[in-house]
Amino acid sequence: MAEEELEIALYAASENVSTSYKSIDCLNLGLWLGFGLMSNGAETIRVEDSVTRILSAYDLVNAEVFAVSNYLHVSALSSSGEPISFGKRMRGSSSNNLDKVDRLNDLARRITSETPDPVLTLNIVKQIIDAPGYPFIIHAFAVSLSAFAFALLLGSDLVPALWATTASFIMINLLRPVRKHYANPIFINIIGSVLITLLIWPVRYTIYSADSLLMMTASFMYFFPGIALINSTRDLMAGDYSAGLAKMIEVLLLAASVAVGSGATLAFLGRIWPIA
Amino acid sequence: MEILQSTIFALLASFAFMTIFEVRGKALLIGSIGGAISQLSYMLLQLLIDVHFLVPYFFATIILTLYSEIMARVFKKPATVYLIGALFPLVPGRGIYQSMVYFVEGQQGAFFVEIQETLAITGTLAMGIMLVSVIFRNFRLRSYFKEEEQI
Repeated sequence: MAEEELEIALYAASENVSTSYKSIDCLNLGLWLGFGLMSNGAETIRVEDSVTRILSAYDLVNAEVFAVSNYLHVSALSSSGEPISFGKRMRGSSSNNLDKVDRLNDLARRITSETPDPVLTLNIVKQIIDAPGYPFIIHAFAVSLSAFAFALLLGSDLVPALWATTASFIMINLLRPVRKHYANPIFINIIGSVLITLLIWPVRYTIYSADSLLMMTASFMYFFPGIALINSTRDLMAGDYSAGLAKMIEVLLLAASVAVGSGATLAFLGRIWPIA
Repeated sequence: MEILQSTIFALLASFAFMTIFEVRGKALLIGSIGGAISQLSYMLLQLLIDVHFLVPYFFATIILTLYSEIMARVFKKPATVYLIGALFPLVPGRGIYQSMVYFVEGQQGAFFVEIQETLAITGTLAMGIMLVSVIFRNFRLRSYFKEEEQI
């Protein structure tokens, strides 16, 4: 569907070579594409780079792009010399959809080389942004598999690994309704770590008690902010200190929230249900 | 045997994380192989070279980042698509959790030793990514668009 629309946009561009597009449409296209990249977990430097190249491809005069971790601003001069600027703020934290990042990145390169009709191309960008992710059951399966594989990788036996798998599966299902009402990732991490600790705590009273640390670690890997850490590193390396440091703080807060949730639960359980 | 087992588990773990991050198609397989490569190179380096514990982490990250950047150029996808899931086997999850346990139990000495080691590993991973990314970064993004512009 998106491919078909892109072909139509490209056809429109080839049929209408002499007509220059409206600056406002080109700027809007850049804004939405950049926003799509930002809200799905792309590095800030990639957002700025992609939007800048799109605006340059449409020959916008004095085009400027500025992005921080949750805000994107684009500006340029219209054909009549009037300044135009748009800003878009991302509410909350970005999601982690690397497929959308990939598709939008690919589209950005095609826009840069083929300069299709910006109005038609904007529809494709919005389609990509609104596209559904994997069904929940696949997500739940992947979360469980990650706990299973990590438990074994860390050196656990098969039974504790399966216990960690089950705990992760139950946790992700219990978190599902919570996520619908509270999207804050710090809150989600605290609730998730409390659930995992509660579900794995009973293993301390079995013959697999020695593996409880490995099981907890394996189950907590899901909460590790990997995308934020890597994006932060890449932004810092690219010289974008404001975005890099903001993401680094996000990494620290997310990691601390897991520690708080699990630590508080461990301390509580240790008091009410001490190991003999 | 242990190395082979760990490599398979790392491949599975990377596959799971890439699925969580919504990676699809061929990239899912290529990224998972990256996870296996990072674990294999880490274990081999640990086995073959008797050096500081951070050195295998550093070189394994360099090998993984190189792999991700090369795959990104070959398949015209962002390197992060391959890098993020594949890096997870090297992440010191155990250290992070163990530090927290020591902290809760009030074992200050053990906490500082553990957290110091964990932060050193995390910093080493970041340095490895930085080193390779800085070489590839400008060259990759510029050449991508230059190539397209020339068509």
